[in-house]
Amino acid sequence: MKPPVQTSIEELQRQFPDAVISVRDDGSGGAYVILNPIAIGARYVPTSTWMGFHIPPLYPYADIYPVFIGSDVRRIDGQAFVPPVTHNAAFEGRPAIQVSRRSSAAQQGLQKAATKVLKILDFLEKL
Amino acid sequence: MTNTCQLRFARADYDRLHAHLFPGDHDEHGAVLLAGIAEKDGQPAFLVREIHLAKEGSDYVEGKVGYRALHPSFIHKMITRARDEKLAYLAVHNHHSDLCVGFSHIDLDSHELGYPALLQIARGMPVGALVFGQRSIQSDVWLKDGSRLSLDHARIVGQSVQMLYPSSRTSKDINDDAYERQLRMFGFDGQKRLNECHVAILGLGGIGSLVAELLARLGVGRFTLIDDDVVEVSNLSRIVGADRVDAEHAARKIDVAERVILQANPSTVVVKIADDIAKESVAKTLAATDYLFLAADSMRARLVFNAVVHQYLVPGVQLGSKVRADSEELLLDVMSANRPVRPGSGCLWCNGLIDMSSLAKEAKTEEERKEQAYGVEEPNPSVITLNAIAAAHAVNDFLLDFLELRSDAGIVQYEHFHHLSRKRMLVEPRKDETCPECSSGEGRFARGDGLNLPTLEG
Repeated sequence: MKPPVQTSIEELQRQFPDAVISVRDDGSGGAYVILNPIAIGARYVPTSTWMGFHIPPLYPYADIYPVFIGSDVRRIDGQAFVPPVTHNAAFEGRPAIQVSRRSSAAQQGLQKAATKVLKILDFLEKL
Repeated sequence: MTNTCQLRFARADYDRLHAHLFPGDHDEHGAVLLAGIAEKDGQPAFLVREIHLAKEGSDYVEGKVGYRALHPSFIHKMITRARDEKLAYLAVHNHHSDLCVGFSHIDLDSHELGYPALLQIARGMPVGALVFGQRSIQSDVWLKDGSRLSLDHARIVGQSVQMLYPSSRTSKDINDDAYERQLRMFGFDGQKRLNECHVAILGLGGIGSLVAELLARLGVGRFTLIDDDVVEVSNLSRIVGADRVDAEHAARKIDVAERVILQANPSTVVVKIADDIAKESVAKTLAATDYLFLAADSMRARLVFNAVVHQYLVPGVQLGSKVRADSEELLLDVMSANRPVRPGSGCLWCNGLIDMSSLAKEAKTEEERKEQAYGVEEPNPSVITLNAIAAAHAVNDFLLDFLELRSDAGIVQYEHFHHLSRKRMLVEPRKDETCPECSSGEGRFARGDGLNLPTLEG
């Protein structure tokens, strides 16, 4: 695993101390990562789920995209998810909802995995 | 001193140092350079990362033995910084010579006196001295194993690539009639420099194959060719030297390019790498080259190329062509691009030419791309004439700039040809002072072997 990827996983553990982090080496220096549980807020049932993503070997240059959450997550207001949040995805063999949020080209500074997770949580909170 | 080393500067840094050393007062001045290190074929190259000009009267003072000397407190500040930053320490002063320069006995005595102690403080990092003439440089660099390095050459990498030596070199005649007509343009010195030049071509498809042929016919003596792809029938309209048999047998593109190169010049040395440019072991080979031609269309190739240019101060150029059409297949833009990339002059990252999403996409398996709804992409249009414009301009720039056949204008510009509108646009790349890739602050600029390249494992 490339050092920046390893470091990002350590940062995720610090940022989300209550989550268990499972990691699978992708064989090229990146990693498939699942955080469980992650609180996604009172607008959803369940209020917490797992979150998974691929940290590419060229992280932090390469975006972490897309991000997946548990397939059982529903909006509490009964509305269906619409793109960029889509059903019928899978991640690491788990049925999943795909959240397709790219890091903007305007944010060309080097990203952090923990920041990406926080941005996804912020996006879900405002959805 | 029997072993040698190289020195590399970005143009703006060299000009700043030169102006400090030779302000027109015919006096002696001093500075300290901190440099990254790269091993190149067993010969260290010192890559100038920081220039600390010594202030007259405080940092550069009257010497106890020689005429002038760096003040001990200035030396201490610099040597500890070199140690902490894992950079080589190089003290600089000037003599008023032009094309030939060397250390005086007083200089060398002072090195004997001072450098053993500086080596200890530097904890293994090289320490040494450089003496500058107006157009010459000599070194006396001390390594921890006790060896000392004189300068083979210094390279100033700007728009053009200036070479400096301890003394002027004379070239022998090159007895090859194949070059008789071009020798009339750039002479034996130029031909020799081409023959000694080591270029890397990243991607041997439509553009890279043209670049290979042009460089080989110019007489470039050493090539590293990198491409893991094979020839298909659909490539035959563009790949120079490829034929139906190559396509039927799925010949490697690097093998076709090698064949073309050796047809042009059988004495050329060709190193072939049939692997992903972004792999660590492949990317590291680029550090030892003299000029990079990026003719691959992946984002990760751009990322690695860009990093090598700035981390190792290797000049390069990114080449491409692009056709855009609307949904009715009406042509919107037909473009060729020739983007020189030079250390200290902006980079592909701070100009938004390395897309984070594309890097993420390239890291996925085919299955993942399908599952994640990336869809199936149609191949991009590609036409040999568009490629030829980019290749010819890039190789022509290489010729004129690498052989110093034109003055350095001081700015690097991207050259975009928009063929539908018949426009040639010159775009000055922006430079982000905090760019992680090209800046000297926290960036990889001139770090050499002291920093990992952004690569895949393998």
